[in-house]
Amino acid sequence: MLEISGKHPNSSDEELLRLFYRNGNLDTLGELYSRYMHLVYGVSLKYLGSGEEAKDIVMQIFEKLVTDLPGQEVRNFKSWLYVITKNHCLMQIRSKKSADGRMEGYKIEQEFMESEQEMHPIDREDHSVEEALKHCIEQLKSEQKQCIELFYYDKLCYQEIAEKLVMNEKKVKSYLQNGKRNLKICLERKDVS
Amino acid sequence: MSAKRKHRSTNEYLKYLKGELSREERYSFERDLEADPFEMEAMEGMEKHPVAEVEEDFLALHATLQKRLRRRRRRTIYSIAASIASLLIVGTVFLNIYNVNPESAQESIPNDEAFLYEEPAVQGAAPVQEEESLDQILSEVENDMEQKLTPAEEMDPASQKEDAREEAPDREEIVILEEKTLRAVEMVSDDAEAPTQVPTEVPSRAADELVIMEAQPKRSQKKSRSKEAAPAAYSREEVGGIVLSSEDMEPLPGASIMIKGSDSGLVADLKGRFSILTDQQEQTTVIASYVGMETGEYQLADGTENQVVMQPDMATLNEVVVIEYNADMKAYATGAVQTVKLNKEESEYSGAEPEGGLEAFKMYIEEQIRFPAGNTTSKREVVVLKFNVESDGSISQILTLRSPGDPFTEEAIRLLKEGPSWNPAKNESEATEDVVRMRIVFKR
Repeated sequence: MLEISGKHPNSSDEELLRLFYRNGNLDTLGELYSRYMHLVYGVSLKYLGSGEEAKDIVMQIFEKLVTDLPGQEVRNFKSWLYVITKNHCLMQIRSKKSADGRMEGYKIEQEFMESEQEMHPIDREDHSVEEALKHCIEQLKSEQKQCIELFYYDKLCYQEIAEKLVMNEKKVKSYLQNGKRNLKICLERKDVS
Repeated sequence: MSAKRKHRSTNEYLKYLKGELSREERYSFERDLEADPFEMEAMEGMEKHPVAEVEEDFLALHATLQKRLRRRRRRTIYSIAASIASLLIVGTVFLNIYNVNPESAQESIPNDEAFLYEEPAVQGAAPVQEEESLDQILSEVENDMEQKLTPAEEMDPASQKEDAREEAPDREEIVILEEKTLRAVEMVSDDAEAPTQVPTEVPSRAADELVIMEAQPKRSQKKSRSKEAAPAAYSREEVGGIVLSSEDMEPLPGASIMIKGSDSGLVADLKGRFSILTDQQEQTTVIASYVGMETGEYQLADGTENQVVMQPDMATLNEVVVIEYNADMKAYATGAVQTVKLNKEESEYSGAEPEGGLEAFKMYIEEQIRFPAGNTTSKREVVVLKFNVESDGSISQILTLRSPGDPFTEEAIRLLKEGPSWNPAKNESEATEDVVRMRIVFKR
């Protein structure tokens, strides 16, 4: 009777979701949610910075799923959950903004509700755009180029890159992010992505 | 986004944060992070926090979710238990009457298989009194039914439907009983030749229900099934107790209790009490966690009077993680040095740091660390030290929080004492004492 999660350890998210739509059983939803609870927690931590608040949000979002999910046709649970989580956090920050004004640094991204995130070409398994990708990497600024090459081609992890280039890990990650953004722009200009 | 890619589990995150992954595992994790902004942002959030707190929060969250899911089920169990109990009470009373008036009962209720309990007969009770007690019981049964209906109404709409469905059989059982008891009441009054005092609306209800009974002839099967279910539910053992703080022996309301070896757990109530139904033969071990207390395992004895006494965790303030890698692996040295300060908001505050910064300290450890001789099997050992850095930079109160043995402890303390001196923590440029927790990983 206490045992609830892991009833369907081998079922995919889609299967669990379909099961839930059919039987409306909270245990099924709980099992699905527990797969991603730590991600919801992590994102909430990132935006709100407090473990207590993050824990509250994780449970608030579960209640939100209980009420909202049955009325919606969700296909990709994980990315849907991501959008819900992020919006919830940003709403939370916004409502707090008047209280203590620590909003700075966060933009509310209006557009992301409509975008089901497309994977960056460089993260895809098939490298059908290899040629164009290589060409675009060449055009990046030196740090971004170095980080991208070390990460994606030499397969070094963040810390190794940080040591090699004598910078901290945070810098490495931001060079990677910015480099990827520039790559995408470059690829779009070439119209291959 | 590829929906088929496996998500990274809670455990993988913890391992990554603790630096327990090999470099290949680490790299493939990071590739996944890059490919999925959800995972990336989650990691960014967790990295900002001491890993011990993150781990504790995971446990607590899991317990809360379980509790949330169980809230509904527990209600159902209670209502089943309540209806079984009322079934037994009414049944017993009925049997008493049965024994008082065996002849007429046999006549009026032929081959009734429902209540064959061996109940001692209560002889000589005045029939009129029994009639009164029956009325009481009838109204009790009605109350029971009303009480059972109220929780269902309080419940959220999603679970309501299901609950109603689950409750339906119980109500039917009570209905049957009422009907039976009523017959008994009539019977008694006839026998005693007293005027029938059964309230008039009750027989009419019974008549209505009789119609339902006829419409569902399978009901008697249901009833016998529930009679079998009752003893099974009680054979589970209840184990429980109270969670206390070792400092003042005060209860800790809301402490998380996970049952070891399972994914389930619960949260202590407002008085710090908890109880678990278990069908395990051996002793139950639970993992208790609470903010500000050391998470620990506790064995529960039988019964519900266990005391889980938790120790305070003094050093969740500031954490330094130093990881040492094997000399051959130097090229890949991924020594994770993290300082996580208590509160990022207070920018005027900076934690105690070794002279030259943490990078330098990490390098010093990597150069100086010796895997103690005499230990043949282990490849990797962890020592966790806790100490104070006083406002003059001196180190005091070194405590070993975790160590595989004295040689490792001594080596760790040697490294700390012979290493770079420490700069005290600063709160708005005023030196202040600080508690540091340091994790040193020995590898070979």
